[in-house]
Amino acid sequence: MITLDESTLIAYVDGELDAQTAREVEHKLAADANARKYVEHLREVVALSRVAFNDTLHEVVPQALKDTILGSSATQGSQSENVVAFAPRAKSEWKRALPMAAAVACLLLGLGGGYQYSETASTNAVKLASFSMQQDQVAMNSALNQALEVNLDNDTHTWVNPNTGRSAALTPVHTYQDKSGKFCREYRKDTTTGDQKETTFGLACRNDQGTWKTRYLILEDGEGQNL
Amino acid sequence: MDARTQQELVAILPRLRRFALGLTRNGAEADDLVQAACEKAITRIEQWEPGTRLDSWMFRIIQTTHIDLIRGKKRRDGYLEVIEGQVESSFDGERAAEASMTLDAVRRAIYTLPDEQRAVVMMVSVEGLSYKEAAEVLQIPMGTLTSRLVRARTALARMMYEQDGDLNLTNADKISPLERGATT
Repeated sequence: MITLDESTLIAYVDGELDAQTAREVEHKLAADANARKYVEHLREVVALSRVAFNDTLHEVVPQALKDTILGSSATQGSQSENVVAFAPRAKSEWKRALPMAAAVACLLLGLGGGYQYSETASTNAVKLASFSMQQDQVAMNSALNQALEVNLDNDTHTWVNPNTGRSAALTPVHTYQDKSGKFCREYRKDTTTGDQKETTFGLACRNDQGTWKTRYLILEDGEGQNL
Repeated sequence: MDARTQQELVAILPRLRRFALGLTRNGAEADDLVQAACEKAITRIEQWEPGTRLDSWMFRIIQTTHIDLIRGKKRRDGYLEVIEGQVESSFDGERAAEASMTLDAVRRAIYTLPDEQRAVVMMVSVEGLSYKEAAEVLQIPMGTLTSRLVRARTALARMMYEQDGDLNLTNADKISPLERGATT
């Protein structure tokens, strides 16, 4: 039996509880208005903290810093300070989802937050293998548009083509408003073709006609792609 | 350092600067800190294992470098060691409430946290590291990490949502500044 103490609720908001415990927390939250309010406040604090320092991301990085890095060529290791190596990044950990209603996120970001991805050279080209795959691609894009337009953060929209066995789970993860007032959303796309699974993460922004255009795509192997 | 790693390091510079700003609370000091950390990283790049997270590794270098700088400064200035939890908050809750919930207010609230709690908030809330990753970066046990995080979040929530009272599980039903802002 778990109790809804502060540390449990904080771990819950951070997505650090296992699925079983999280379900228990949700069950108890349903019957505890004070705890729900507390969770709501925590989420707001987390969401605001997350963007409070984003101005720095928009600033031009001082050239001296870049020069320091780019001017280095040979590896000159000598010190043996205790810097530990980290485990390789798990695919699912690209970004932890902050459960937060899209509207709240937009409101928060409207306060002056900003958002920017570092740019990576385009290295991968998406190859469409066959006509049926192209058709699926079109249908999947339409499903993605639907998911981005309608679904709240962390609410998955599923698309299936029973004829080709292809399916996709489309999940908006974060919602932002960029400096020009345009809405942008990070999303996760899990595609299954036969027994092949592929996960990509994208950043799409909305135009005035309700069409979402993907601006940036991160493929499973970690390569980024500007679109 | 090979060209690919150089590129990767340059690409994460904006995030490193953001993290350093959270630690130092001062733009110029943040850049000095990132500069010093990059120099260290270059001389000991062989300690970084390709394929692992370069950002976490850099956060760790920035964090340790920052601690070294603070300690040096304290020695020079003859300050007493600040003990976590004993920092007097200079945050003006009333003014923050008037200014509604601006990002500036959140930033200032985070700045009032003790160094150790602020580092945890920057890693977990701002950079989105998992508890495990953050504990590895800081080389502290998970229990220490979560207790710092709980203290930090509770303090922030109190600064944001209460002007003088406590925000706790039995007193959390006050309307938040955010909602107030949303209705106007």
